[in-house]
Amino acid sequence: MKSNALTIAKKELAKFFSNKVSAVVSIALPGLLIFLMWTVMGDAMGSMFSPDDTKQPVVAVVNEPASIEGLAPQAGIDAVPEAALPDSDEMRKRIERGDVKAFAVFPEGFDRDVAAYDPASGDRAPQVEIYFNSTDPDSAKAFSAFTSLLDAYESSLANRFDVNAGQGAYDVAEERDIAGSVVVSIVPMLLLILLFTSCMSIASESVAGEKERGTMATLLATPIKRRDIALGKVLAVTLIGLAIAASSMLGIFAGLPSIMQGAVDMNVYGPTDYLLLVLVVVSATLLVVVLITMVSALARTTKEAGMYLTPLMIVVMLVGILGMFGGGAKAEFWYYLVPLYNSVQCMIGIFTFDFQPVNVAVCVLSNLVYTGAGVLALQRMFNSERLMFAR
Amino acid sequence: MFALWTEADTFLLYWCDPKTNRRDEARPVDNAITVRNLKKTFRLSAKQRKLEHTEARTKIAVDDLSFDVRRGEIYGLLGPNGAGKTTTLRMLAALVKPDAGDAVVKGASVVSDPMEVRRLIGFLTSELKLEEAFSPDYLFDFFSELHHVDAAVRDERKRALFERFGIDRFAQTKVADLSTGMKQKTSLAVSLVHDPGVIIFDEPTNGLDVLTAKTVTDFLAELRSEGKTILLSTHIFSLVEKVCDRAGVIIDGRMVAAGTLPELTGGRSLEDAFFDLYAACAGEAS
Repeated sequence: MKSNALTIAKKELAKFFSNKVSAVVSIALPGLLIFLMWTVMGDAMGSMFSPDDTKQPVVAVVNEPASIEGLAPQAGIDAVPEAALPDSDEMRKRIERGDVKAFAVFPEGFDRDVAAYDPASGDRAPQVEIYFNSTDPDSAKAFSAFTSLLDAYESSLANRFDVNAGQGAYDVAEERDIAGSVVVSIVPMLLLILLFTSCMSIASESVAGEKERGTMATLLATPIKRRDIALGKVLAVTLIGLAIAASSMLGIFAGLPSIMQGAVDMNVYGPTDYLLLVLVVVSATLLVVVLITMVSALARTTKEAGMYLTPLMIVVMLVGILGMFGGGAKAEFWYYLVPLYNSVQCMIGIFTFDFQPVNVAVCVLSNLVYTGAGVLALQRMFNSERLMFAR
Repeated sequence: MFALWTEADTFLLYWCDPKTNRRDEARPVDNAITVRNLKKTFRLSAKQRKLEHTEARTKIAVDDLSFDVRRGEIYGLLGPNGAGKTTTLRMLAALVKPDAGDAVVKGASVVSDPMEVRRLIGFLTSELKLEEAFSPDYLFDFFSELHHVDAAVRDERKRALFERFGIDRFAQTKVADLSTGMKQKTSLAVSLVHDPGVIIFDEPTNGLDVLTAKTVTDFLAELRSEGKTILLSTHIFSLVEKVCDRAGVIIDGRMVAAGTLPELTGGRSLEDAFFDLYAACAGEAS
């Protein structure tokens, strides 16, 4: 009798793929959209925030002291004398025009005052003012370069100690730690939400849609067990859901380095990590599909199913968002018994290389048990005259 | 009179002596469908109560209904809309469970063995629709698979039925693109994928054009000549007069009259006889 469930599943898949364009769009679009959106956004952000390194920053200097005049060329800054500081509008216009990227104002007699200044006196130190436009990457670069120049000049006057002055690798964080911290903040939530929203329309169409069109009654009039109908539908929607999840994951993983400006390298994850991730995603998909199918079975129409599924979608989103602020994967096994939250915790553990195999096993097994219970509940729902033939 | 005996999970109907209540072993009744004291009550939603202008929270759709359909005959259930015909057929097709009573279809009880009943019958109602995304060819194969019909048998049966109904030209056309008549013919063909001995049709010619209705009516007669048992519900008098061997009149969920057409009509037209029965029922109710 198992073949009946497969026959139902085949029929569901045939129906989904009967419109090939729609099927390909449903499966490929989420991943493709994420990849394209993140790539375009990454490029746009890159060009928005990256200065033009081929250009030397030009800083207009008022009362330029001799000390700075000598140091500027060495620091790669083109310091041009300026008679007086223009007003803000004029400065903005000239920065935008590009002939000057920042304005520096030194007090008259700066070198003399600096030489005479005693830090222990409690008097105010000579002040240098640098004006720039923070939204213009070249202006921000000019500000940064001129500030560094002044810092270097100040250090040369009275250098007592340096911090991280050598060429050593002072940040002990590994590339995989950086990747992990970035990935967990985005991927579990996004994957869960994408999975849910994608399966939502397909599963509600498969159950509530069939009730609405009267084709469910045709199926119920055949000599097959209600359990086989439930299993077949869950199986088919799960397969479609997994295809959507795979496409979404590919899109996320391919687009993440672009949106994170190269700060994330997905190659830090090995085959074991990806295999565990697949196990978790498969079990989570089964659970999500069974939940959606059960809620859809309560509805008479797909519209009604959409209405009933909205609160569940909010719960799924909240569970995904909770994962972003949890501070790493939980160690206690009982967290891995909580439906949906367990999958998010597992993904966090896998992405941060901080998972315990037993917890992943608890998560996967509990999801399978919940799915089994869901199929039994669905079987009962398909047996219910009130649910199947309600008007 | 006759009575129902149960032996080794099968139902046997024999003529029996009303005084001694003993069965006459020499006179078994050859019934394909035996219905005894079927009852079905539905809960009414607030919306339904408003629509039906009633305060009652429940509605008795079928009330203590008993009748038999003999092997190889066409039996018509005649009644106005809302009389309980469709509910009765749904119970006989094991789609819904009776609240009380039982019905036996070729030895299988709709209460204790609904799966077997579904295997034995072909059921067609306008409420059962076909997936519009599929072609008649795909649907025939799909339902054959659910009935575990051998591929060679399926192909031969499909060829014959599609040819009989002129579906062969549209075999690969999506149901969505078929005419109403062709959809009904496809539903009819699909309901017969497993060559059932008992066929239950709910309003088989409802909403069909005259040509398609004639095709369906002629086919019913053909099925009878092949030895099939047919139970159909209708509110079309001419259909009953034309094809039914016996008929039962259902009003308000109760069987108010049953028998052969001459027994029912007493020499009048079926329409006149029906309205007399209806008036008598309405008089009793008031």
